[in-house]
Amino acid sequence: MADYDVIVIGAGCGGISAGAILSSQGRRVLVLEQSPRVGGCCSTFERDGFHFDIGASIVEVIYPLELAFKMCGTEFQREVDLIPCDPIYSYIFRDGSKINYPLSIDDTAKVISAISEEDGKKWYELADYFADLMKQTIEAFFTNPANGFLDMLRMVRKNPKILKFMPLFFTSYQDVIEKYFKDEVVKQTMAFQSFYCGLPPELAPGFVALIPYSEHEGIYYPRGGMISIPEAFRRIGEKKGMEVKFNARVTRVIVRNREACGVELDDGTEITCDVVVSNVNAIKLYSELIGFEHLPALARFGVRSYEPSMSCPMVYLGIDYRPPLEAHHSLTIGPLDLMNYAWWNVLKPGLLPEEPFGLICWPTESDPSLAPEGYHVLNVMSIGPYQLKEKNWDEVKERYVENLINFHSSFSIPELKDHVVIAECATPLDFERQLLSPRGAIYGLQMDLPHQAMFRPCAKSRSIKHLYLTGASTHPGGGVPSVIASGVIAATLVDKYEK
Amino acid sequence: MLKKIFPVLILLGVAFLFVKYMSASESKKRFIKHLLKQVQYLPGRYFA
Repeated sequence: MADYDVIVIGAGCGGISAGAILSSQGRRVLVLEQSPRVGGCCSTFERDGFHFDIGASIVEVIYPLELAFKMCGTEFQREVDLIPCDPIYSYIFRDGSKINYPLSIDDTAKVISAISEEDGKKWYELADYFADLMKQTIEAFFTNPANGFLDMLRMVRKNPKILKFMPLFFTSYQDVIEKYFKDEVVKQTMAFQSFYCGLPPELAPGFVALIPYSEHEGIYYPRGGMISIPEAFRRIGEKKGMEVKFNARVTRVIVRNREACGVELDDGTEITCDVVVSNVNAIKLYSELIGFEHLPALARFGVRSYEPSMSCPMVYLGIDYRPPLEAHHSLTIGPLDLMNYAWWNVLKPGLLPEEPFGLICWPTESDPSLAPEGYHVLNVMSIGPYQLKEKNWDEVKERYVENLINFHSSFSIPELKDHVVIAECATPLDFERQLLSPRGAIYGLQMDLPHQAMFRPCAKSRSIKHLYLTGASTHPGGGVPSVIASGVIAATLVDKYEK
Repeated sequence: MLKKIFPVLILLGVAFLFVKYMSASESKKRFIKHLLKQVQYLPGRYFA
């Protein structure tokens, strides 16, 4: 008899949610996490009384989370205290001017109409179209397996209406935005979200243009930091008997005759199990933990062809004043063409952008308990390459933080540089080391069409029996709701095939 | 009859797509190139 029914490698949101669901089904589950905390990218760490979110900064599209908690026999809203964020964005332009988009579709239409009346009307058209897309696809696509043509056919059979959105798969995000909006400023405010799937507007698939709408269905910050979500899964799972071991690094998945039957830890300990659920990036899983010798030739070719998604440097700031910001999320952006230009001419050649545009998260606006009284926390995410052309990230880290603080002090957060009491930085290299994510990828793999659905690593491995995959590198992709949806999918498949 | 028309239809289709591609914006061309260069990997990815 094996030591456990299921071993989950990695306590990121995908792994810990799958573990909690499987333990709720009465299985003996062991979760092995190489770091000292749960959550992976969706986690929070503490320094001198300041609590910083590692990567993920809010949660939206909460249906997969509600489903996952329901499968654990509880309710999301009962387990996690969600703070609604409104306005959803404050866009800060280089001249210091701001445009705030409220949560309400109607109020946002008013803001857009003040810039361009025609675009204000088009906003309603975009919202209607993507509201329909959300309605038709959220259940059929997000929380169901996409392991092959049959699964895709099942999705269509479940809801044939999703076929009408097929053109979105063959058009770019930029095409969609330009189809609806004519004003350059409005286009800017709708375009940056393509980077949430790790690609510039001209390369991201059209269906990603769902994001500027989906945010208006509600974005939330979990009280206590982003770690509150994976912690809730851990709490529920442990109540059902799930064991979680921290600082336990898996170095090998034990495979015999193409069947996963256990894991080996870095101290040489071997633990046996009937099923392995991996929350590790699929490239790392197949190439290092399993080894190409266990894969059929075609699968080896496929795994080698996967491209990790983009990474980004994150700067965590503790400050001793209330920053002059107007929302939980502020965006410093440039024209749409500049976003594409930055991709091809700055990120691809391994340069650092002179102006580190990106996202400013202000969690203490929503939850003041994350910093000592009178202090605030800012998590600043910018676009940046993994591989720098000249030096490496360890060498430029300090200068990068200094430049970023100066940049934001100059227009988006006046006086910032005089109020920083603590500054930390996680570079793409740090993400690679800490999250074991190849090239520091924050969304697992690329999120373009050739890495989607059945072309993403299968949730039920085709090559190794009793091996299941979860996390950002499998369907439906990166982002907290998608990763938790992947946990739901893995748990559902284990329940179906591993009696 | 159908046998004779079929290759012509294919040729016309390819010609149509080529003209469409050539008249597309540079941005659109980059999007299409980005997809096309990965077509070779799809069979492997499907079985991974």
